[in-house]
Amino acid sequence: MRGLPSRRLNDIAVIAPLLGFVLLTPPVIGLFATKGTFFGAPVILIYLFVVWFALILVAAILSRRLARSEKKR
Amino acid sequence: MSSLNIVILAALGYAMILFLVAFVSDRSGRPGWLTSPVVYTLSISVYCTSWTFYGAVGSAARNGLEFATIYIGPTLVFLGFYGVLRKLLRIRRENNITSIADFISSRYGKSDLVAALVTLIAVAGAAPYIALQLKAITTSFHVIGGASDITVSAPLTAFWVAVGLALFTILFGTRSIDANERHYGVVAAIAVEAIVKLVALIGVGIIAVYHVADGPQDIFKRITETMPPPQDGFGVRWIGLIFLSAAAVLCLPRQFQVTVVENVEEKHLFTAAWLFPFYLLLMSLFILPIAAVGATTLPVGSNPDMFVLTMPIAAGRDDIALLAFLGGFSSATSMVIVSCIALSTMISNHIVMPLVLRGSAFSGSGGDLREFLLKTRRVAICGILFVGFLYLEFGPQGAGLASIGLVAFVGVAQIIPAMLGALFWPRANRRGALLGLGVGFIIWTYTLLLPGLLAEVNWWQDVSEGGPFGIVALRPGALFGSGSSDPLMHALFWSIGANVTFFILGSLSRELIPLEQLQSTLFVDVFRANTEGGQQLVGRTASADALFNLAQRVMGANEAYRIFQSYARNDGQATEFPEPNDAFINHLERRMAASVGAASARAMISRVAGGERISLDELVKIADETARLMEYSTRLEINSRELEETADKLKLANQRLVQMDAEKDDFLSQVSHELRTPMTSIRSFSEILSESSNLETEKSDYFLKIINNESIRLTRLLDEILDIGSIERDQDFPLSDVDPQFALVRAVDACRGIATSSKAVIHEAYTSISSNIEANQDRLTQVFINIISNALKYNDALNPRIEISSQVIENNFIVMVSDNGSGIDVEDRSRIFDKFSRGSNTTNEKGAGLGLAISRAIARKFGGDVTLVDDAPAGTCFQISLPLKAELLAN
Repeated sequence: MRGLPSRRLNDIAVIAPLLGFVLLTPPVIGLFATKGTFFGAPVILIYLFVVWFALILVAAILSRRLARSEKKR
Repeated sequence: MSSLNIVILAALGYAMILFLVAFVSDRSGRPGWLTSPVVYTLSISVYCTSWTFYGAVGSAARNGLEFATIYIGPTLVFLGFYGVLRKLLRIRRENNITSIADFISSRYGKSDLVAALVTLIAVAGAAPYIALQLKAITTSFHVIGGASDITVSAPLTAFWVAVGLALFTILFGTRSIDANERHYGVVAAIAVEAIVKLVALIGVGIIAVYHVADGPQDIFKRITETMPPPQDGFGVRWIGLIFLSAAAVLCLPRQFQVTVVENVEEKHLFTAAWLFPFYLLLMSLFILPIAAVGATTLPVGSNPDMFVLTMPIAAGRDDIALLAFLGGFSSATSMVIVSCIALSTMISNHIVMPLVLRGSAFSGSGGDLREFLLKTRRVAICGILFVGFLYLEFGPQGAGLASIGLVAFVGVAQIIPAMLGALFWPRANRRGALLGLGVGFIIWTYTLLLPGLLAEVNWWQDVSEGGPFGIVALRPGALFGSGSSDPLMHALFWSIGANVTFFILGSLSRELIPLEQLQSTLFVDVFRANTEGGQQLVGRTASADALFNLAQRVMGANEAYRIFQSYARNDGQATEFPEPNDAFINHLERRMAASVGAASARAMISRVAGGERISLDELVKIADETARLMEYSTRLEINSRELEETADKLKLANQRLVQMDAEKDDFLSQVSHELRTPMTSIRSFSEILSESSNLETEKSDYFLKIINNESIRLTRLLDEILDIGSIERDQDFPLSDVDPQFALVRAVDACRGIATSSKAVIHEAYTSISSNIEANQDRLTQVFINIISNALKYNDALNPRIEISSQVIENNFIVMVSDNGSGIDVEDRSRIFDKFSRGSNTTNEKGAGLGLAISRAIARKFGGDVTLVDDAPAGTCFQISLPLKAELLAN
């Protein structure tokens, strides 16, 4: 009952790390493990750090929202 | 390097500063900045040890991007903090958990065996890990000090480093036994160290990118040249390492210590959730550039684990090299300090205490245990560092820092099934935990730890080539023929696989015992409000004196006294010592668990309080999800049924009110109508009298008589209205014991006058039984008179005849009054008891139509009734029934 308003947020909190795991493990990460370059940098390097940074952003947004919804309760 | 002395001085000076930070923080109690989420996050970064600082670069130089897996795992765990870490924090707060071993053992029935096993795994896993730090410090010292300047051998340096760290840790971590097992000073010092190592690594990175290389483009070129082809890196090992690092950030004793035990406020986790991964990202950012620059500029054969130091030295930046040395020193010391504190707490609480409790040394009146606990912790710290030193000296030589660390990770990861089971699987029990942990630990030791330690030993070489006792299927490097080129993944697969299997099968093999059930509920359902009462379910008895005696030995007399007093005060007890009821004993046990762990606290309390009784009914109530839901829905059902009933009652009451309102309106209009008729005739006749002065006397007399008659009728009408009003408004008239027969005879006598004038004959047939009812004599007589006079008045027969009988039937006094008149029309029958109603065929307008209504109302007051008998042979028959008085019934 208490969690109903943030049920959606809770689901996102569970799915986010799973999504991160999928993005950063084979086979998905294998798609970017090529010899190609992106502005001179290896594609895989850019992919890894960009996804990593994106996950941190997700964590930041998520934790802010969760903290707010928890405070409301 | 300019001078060895400068390095030594810098290291010592740095250690002094750290100690000062810790000392000031401890002294100042809990200043605001110490409890900020940033400090909390920085303390979690104790995860980045010299493995990260030196080893990650080494790993990157050897295996490319693989180093990143060690930081991706924790990133994912913190991204999912809302599910796991938040629950861990809440459970720690509710149960005063002191360590990872305490956590696991509390969940599995406060078992000291589980706690000891987890401690054993943690210590075994810590040995290679601490060896790694010793190796890093020693090597870095030799590198930066300049090999030629140092005359001592590496092992000796390592030994003195270990001694120094032991001293440092003892000074830091075991100055007192804190009530909450929290070390604010240590946390502050680690936060400082976290900043130093980050700044140092970034500093080296910037030197690498802009001083040695020509900016990012050059770096990317060097990376592409030196790194192994990217296609190779992403296989099973990549996934396995992410899993390992994710497990480690939860299960490593030092991570549990800083993340869970030292946590001051749950909301800090919301910051750490993104800030800690961000810290890891920053730490990882320059690893590849440093590795690439080192690999391309330093001479072939240089130790890649030391690129962080050798690269700035080669570039002629001694200042940065010194900073890097301090950064590495920071990462190593912070890891060793926190690990030793966590492990020594576990050893003293879960290995030494249970032994002491079992032995005779722990007698009822011994001295202060705190001093003893502190001593065991100090000894444990020395022991742990010594084991680490031994591993360094006799363990696998020439291995990279990262590979040593991974051995430790696989060991500690054995705790993860029991931990996740503790959090999410209600049926997980002690047997499953012991089996899983035990089997996983044995396989790890056999397939990973021993092969590293005993690689040079002859008999072990036989075992690894031919299997133990010649059983080829059990070769440590290829269990059941699963030969693998990667012993780490081989060990990980078999140990975790067997661990999980045995954990699940063991848990399913038996039901939970009550204490396990209770703890399971308190852990798995920690966010449910109604588990709060769960702690009170354990019932024990003890004297307050014995409890105090015990408490002061564990916590000291002052603290114990404070706990006792504040409990008594909060509980509203006037005494100094609270009443030792179940609630207080459980409260005390939890407080003691904060010092010595749940298993030991329970064992101690059991010494003075005897075995516990757990109320099974209550337990089932809070534990069983279905039972709880059922109870909830039953309550809802009862509530809604009650609501429905109330609504029905209200509806009924409303209907009655509406009906009564209509009746009242009816009554009023009838009353006005009834009053109007006599009033009209009075007015018109009086007008005639006053206006016509020459009326004949006879005529005026006649008019006056009509006026008089009408006034009498009006008065009677008003009397009757008042009468019925008073009866219906429940106005009491005095009740007494009345003989109904007497009242009936009186009424019949009173009616004889009318009977004579209307030439009616009265037949009487009375019962001979004398009876008694509770009634009012006059009112009862009135009822009889009303009925009898009605029968006389409305009898239109030629020879009117009235029959009056009385009987006693089934505790009722029954009077029947019947006549031989034409009877009442069928359509009138239902409304003759209404007010102002008269039979439609009556021509006589004398009555107001209130008689029957009044009679019925009075009879009902006495518990009886007046009814019209439907099946009377002819005429009308009324029945008056009155209940006999109870006491007479007995006779």
